[in-house]
Amino acid sequence: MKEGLATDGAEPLLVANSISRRFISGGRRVTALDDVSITLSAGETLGLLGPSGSGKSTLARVITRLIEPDAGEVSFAGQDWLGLKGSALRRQRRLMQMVFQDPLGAFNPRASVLSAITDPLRIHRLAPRGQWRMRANALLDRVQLPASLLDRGIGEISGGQRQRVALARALACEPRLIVLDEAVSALDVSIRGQILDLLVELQRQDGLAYLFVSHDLAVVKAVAHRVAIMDAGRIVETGPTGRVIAQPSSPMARALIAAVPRLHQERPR
Amino acid sequence: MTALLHLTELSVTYPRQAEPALDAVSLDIAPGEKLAIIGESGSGKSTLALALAGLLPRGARLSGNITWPSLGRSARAGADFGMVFQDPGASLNPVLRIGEQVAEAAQRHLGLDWEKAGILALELLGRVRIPDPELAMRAYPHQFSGGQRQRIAIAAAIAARPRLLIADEATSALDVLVQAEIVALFRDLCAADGMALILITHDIALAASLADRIAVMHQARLVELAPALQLVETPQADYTRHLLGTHIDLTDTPRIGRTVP
Ligand SMILES: Nc1ncnc2c1ncn2[C@@H]1O[C@H](COP(=O)(O)OP(=O)(O)OP(=O)(O)O)[C@@H](O)[C@H]1O
Ligand SMILES: Nc1ncnc2c1ncn2[C@@H]1O[C@H](COP(=O)(O)OP(=O)(O)OP(=O)(O)O)[C@@H](O)[C@H]1O
Ligand SMILES: [Mg+2]
Ligand SMILES: [Mg+2]
Repeated sequence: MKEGLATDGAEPLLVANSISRRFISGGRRVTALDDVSITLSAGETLGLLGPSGSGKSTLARVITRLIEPDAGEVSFAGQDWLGLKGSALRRQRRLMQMVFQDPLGAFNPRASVLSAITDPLRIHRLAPRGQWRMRANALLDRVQLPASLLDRGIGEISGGQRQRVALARALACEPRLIVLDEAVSALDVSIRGQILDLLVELQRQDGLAYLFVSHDLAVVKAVAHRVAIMDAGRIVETGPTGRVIAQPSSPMARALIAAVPRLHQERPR
Repeated sequence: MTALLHLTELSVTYPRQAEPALDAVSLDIAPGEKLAIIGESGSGKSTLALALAGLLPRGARLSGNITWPSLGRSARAGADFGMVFQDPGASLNPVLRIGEQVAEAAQRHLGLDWEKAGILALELLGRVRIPDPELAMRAYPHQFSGGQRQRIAIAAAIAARPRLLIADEATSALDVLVQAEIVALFRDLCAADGMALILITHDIALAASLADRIAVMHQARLVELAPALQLVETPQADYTRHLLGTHIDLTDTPRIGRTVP
């Protein structure tokens, strides 16, 4: 059984160390992240699970440098990631992509599907102009979307289609790490399975790493080598996915696993 | 019983599109009924919701009929039906405080004064399990997590005690614990207030456990409509069988462990 894990002595691709972040506004104080550390190797998927409001998206946003932590360090591809600035940051940024929980907010609302996908090709000079459309077509095809969507506006497609366009855009960057925040939640189960297969295949081919945020335990189990369980801004449990699901040790992991709805079950009347 | 909502041959074609996004969909919803709509991504589920709410983009062509027999008139947004959009950003006004958003509906449609509306808003935020509701009342949407925003949108949509709640993927970002609370709240509202629910979801287990009936959409058409358990146990349409067959379960072999073909 191939695990696709690159743990043989090599330095991890991503190390986040003792990250803390608080939000204070009005009288509301939230410790969204409290001394959180994670590592992720090339070719590896870390599933991030936890109740709503436990800090998952905040961690994703710190790692992708959308917000600054109050404390902590992040290294990515051997560099001090939070210290990178200017052109060095612009060059490296391509290597870490994110698919957002709320994909509509992540796009320029006036963009077309074509420009949403080909902007990275242009910005990072990944392909000559003459190839953009062809590349966009190929990427749409990979995420199970028809080429006829290319000339639509980003607001003129369905929620699940938009989620897949966001993934196609991330893939266009040829990244080494993709942070996926509830990135398959708007897909029907059939297409969801195909997208998960695509992610696993790309990981095998190119050694892509994923930080996979999801509330769906079955989905996390399908793709993650390891999981971290968050609760109230802290990581309360980590371990190999199979082990944590079979024998959860923290109360939060136990509660989340026990509450998973089953398809064929008794229903309350 | 008189239907709350009655759709006949409802079709929608978006501007500049050759194919309809919704193709001749007919269905009835009874007062207090819980209907789940599942189906393919891009099959027209949100389009159906937008058509019901009268929120299709300009230039979209609508044909067929939407009637509200038990109202005997056309429905008013907010008062007769509440809507939670698939994109939580679309449900909430970014520049209004949470308390104002939730209280506004109650004030406008129930005729409550601001103080009473505020008390109701506070209670609703508690019911959807927003932590520290008093402080949350004064915060803005961007200061909440994705799942918290979904729950605030639910609170705002039910504030005016609508006859119908249309919830488009409104629980898609919720962990199983909070989801169970929201499901209990939906059950309560339907049982106690006779509210009807249209729940659009990709979560078939959720649909099966909550809904009275499940409708399945595929390529702009309604391909199957049946009592929830019957649909899950003995699906009739090919697409329904396909969809149920691809359900991802906790007992499945992990994809990362599968050998490459
Ligand atoms: N900009 C902000 N201002 C104030 N509080 C915030 C802000 N962003 C997040 N929070 C708070 O920080 C906590 C963690 O939020 P985060 O978005 O990381 O949660 P999450 O685990 O992603 O939840 P969900 O599963 O609901 O998406 C929440 O209590 C949230 O209300
Ligand atoms: N404004 C628009 N202009 C043109 N086509 C549109 C527009 N909005 C949606 N569509 C198309 O109409 C079809 C139905 O979209 P709809 O949003 O109803 O799907 P859905 O079933 O809700 O999908 P999902 O599960 O992905 O949210 C899709 O093919 C979509 O691309
Ligand atoms: Mg989140
Ligand atoms: Mg939709």
